[in-house]
Amino acid sequence: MPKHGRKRKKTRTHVVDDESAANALKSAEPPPPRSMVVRHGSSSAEEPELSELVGDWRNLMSPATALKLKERKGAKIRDYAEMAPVLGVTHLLAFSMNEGGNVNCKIARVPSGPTLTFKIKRFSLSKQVRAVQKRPIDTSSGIFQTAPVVVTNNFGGSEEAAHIKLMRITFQNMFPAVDVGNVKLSDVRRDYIIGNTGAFGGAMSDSEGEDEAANVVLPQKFTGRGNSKSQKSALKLVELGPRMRMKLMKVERGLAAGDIMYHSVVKKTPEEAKSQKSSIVQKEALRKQRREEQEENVQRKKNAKEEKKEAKRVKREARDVQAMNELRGEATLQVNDGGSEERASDSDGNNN
Amino acid sequence: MTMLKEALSHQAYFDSLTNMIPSSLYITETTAVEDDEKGALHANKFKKGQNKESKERRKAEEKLRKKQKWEAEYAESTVEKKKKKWEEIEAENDRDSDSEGGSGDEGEVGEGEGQAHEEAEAMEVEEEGLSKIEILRKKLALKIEKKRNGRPENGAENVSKRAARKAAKMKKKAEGKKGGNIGFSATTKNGEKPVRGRASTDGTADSSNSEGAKNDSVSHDLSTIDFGGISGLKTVSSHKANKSLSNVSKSKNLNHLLEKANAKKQRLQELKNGSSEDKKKREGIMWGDAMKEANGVRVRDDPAMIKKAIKRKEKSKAKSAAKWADRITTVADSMMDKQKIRKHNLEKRKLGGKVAANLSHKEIRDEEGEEKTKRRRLGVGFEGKKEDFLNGGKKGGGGKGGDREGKQ
Repeated sequence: MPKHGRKRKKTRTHVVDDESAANALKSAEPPPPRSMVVRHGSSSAEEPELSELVGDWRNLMSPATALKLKERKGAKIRDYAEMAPVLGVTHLLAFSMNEGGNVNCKIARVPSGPTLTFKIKRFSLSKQVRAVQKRPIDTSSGIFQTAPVVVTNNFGGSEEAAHIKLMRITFQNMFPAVDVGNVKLSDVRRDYIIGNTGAFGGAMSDSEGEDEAANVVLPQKFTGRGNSKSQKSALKLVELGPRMRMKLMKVERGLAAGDIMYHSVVKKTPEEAKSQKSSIVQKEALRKQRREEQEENVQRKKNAKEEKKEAKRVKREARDVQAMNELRGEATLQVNDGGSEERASDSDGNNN
Repeated sequence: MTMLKEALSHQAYFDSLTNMIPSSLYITETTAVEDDEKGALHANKFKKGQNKESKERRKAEEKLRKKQKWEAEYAESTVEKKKKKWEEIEAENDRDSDSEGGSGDEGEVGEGEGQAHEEAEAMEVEEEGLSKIEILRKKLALKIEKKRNGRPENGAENVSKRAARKAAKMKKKAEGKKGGNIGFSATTKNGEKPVRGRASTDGTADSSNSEGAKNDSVSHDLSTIDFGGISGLKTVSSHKANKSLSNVSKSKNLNHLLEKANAKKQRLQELKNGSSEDKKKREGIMWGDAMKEANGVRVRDDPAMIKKAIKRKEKSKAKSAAKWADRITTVADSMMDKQKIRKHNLEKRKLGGKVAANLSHKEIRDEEGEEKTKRRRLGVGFEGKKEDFLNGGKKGGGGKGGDREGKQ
C-alpha cells in the first residue's frame, strides 16, 4: 500500500521469463532440452560394459543431463517417465540388455512420446576409442561443460521416409540450439556426428587434419596456444567416443506405449492390427474389472472384520455389566442378611 | 434581295441573342493549343518557382488575360469568339494534315508518304458527316493506338524503380527459401524461434579453376550434411511479453481444445474406415503429430488428458473459492470481535474506576475472569490465597494453618 497521501505506483510491470524447470514446461515455447540416461532391466554387476556405455552417453549428453544418476533396482521406464516432467527433462534414453545379449536403446520424448527403439549392433566405449589414439584429448579440460553441436549426415530432406525424418528431428532436438549471435567460439568444443549409413554400410573414419580445406581463419579467440582472433588455424576433429552402430527397430506414438507407427521387422495388415488392438483393449478391460473386484473383496472383508470386532466388544461389555450386576447382587444380599438379623433381635425383644 | 435582307436580319437577331449568352457556356469546342495550355497550367502549378523567366512570362500572360477579360477594347462578343474558334480549329486541321503528309527520313520518304496518304484518305472518308471535334477525337484515338502497337512487349523501359526494387527483393526471398543457408525451425530458446541450418556449398576458401573438381566433390559431400537447431537469427515475440493476453481464460481454451480433440479423433476414425487414400492421409496426420512432438511442440489431441486437465482446473477453482470464502468469514469475524471489544470498552469507560483504567483494545478484560486465570496459573497444591504464615505470626504460634481455601 502507498504511504498516506501518496499515489499508488505499479512497480513490477515487466513480464520476466521464468526459467525454472516446471514453469518452462508449462510455457508455450519448447523448453531447453534436458535428458536422462538410464539403464533398466538386469543389474549392473552382470553387464559392466553396458554400465560404462551408459556413463559414456551421460558424458556425451552433458551438461544438460544427470551425470551421477543412480537407478533403483526394479524401476521401469514408466517410473522415470512420471518423474521426468517434474525435473524438466525432455528426453529419456533407456538402455537395456535382453536374455539374448542384445543391447537395446529407447529414445523417448517426454511426456507423451514418440519413442524410438534402436537395436545396438555393436559399440565401442570411450576408453577403447582413446586407447588406440596417439594423442587422445584430455577430457578433464572442461570439454564436457558445453553442449555439442549436432551434425547429421545423409538423412535427406523433406522427401525422405517419415521414420528417417523423425530420427533426424529427434537427434537434432536432443541438444540445445546454438545461438549464432551470442555464442563464443571457445564454447564450441564438441561435435555429435550421426550418419545414416542406410544400405551402404561402412564405418565412420577418423578425420584428418592435414587437408588444406581444414585450415580456417578464426573469427574469435579459441582455446589452445596460438589460437587468437583472425589467426589461421588448422581444424582437427579427434574422436572422443563412444562409437555405436544401431538400427531403428520401431517407432511408438506414446512414451514406450501407444500405436506402433513403424516396425522394421514385423509387418501387420490392418485386420491383424485391429484384432491385436481389440485384444489389448479386452485385456485392459479385464484387468480393470479384476482390480475392481479385488477392491470390493478387500472392502467387504474389512467391513466384516470391523463388524466382528464390534460384536465382540459389545459382548464383552455385556459380560462385564452382568458380572458387575452379579457382584452387586451378592453384596446387597449380604447386607440385607445382616440387617435382617438385627431386625430379628429387635423384634424378639431386648437382646442387645 | 428582300430574301437576303430578311436572312441577314434574322442572322443579326440570332447573333444578338447569342451575344447575350456568356462565351464560356456557349463555346464548348477546344483546340489542341488550348488543351496543351490547360495541361501546361496544371503542370505549371507544380513548377512554381522553378524558373524565373517563366514566372515573369506567366505574370504577363495573366495580366493580358485580365485585360482581355475586363477591358472594353479587348471585349469580344460571343459570336466573334465562336468565329475565331472555328477558324483556329480549321487551321489546326490543315496543319495536322500537312504535318502527317511531310514526316519521315529521306530514306523512308516513300513509305512515310504512303502511310500519310492512307491516313489522309481514311480521315477524309471519316470527315464526311462529322463535326470537327469528333474528327479531332478520332485522330487522337488513332495516334494512341499507333503508339500502343509500337510499344515493346516487356515494357521494361517503363517499369518504375519501385517495382524493380520490389521484384528484386521477392527474387532474393525465393532464392533464400529454396536452398540457401536457412531451413525450418527446430527448437527455441529464450522466446526466439531458431532455424535449422544447412551447410553452404561454398564453404571452401579457394575457388580457383584448378581445384574446381575438388570443390565439386566437397560441395557434393556437404550437401548431405545438416545441423541442429540454430537460434538468434529470428526473434518471435512470445505471447507472455504482452501482458494484456495474460487474462485469457484457460478453461475456455481447454473446452475449445476438447472440442477440437474430439473432432480430430472422429475424423481419424472416419479416415481409418475409409479408402486407402484416406488411410494414407491418416498416417500423414499421425506422422505429422509425431514430428511436432519430437520438435517440442505439445500436440494436445487426447480428449482423456484434456478432460483431466479440466477437472484439475475445476478442483483448483473450487479450492481457491473455499479459501476465499474462509478468508472473508475470518475477516468478518475479526471485525465483529473488534467491535465487541470497542463496545465493551466504551461502556466500561463510562463507569470509570479500576476497570476503566485497565482497558485493552485487543481483548475484553474482566476482573472475575482475571482472578480465575490467576488461580488456574498457580496450579495444584496452591489453591487459595495466603492468609498467614505457617508458624503463627499475628494469630499466634503453633498449629497448622487452617483450611486454605480461597476466598469465595
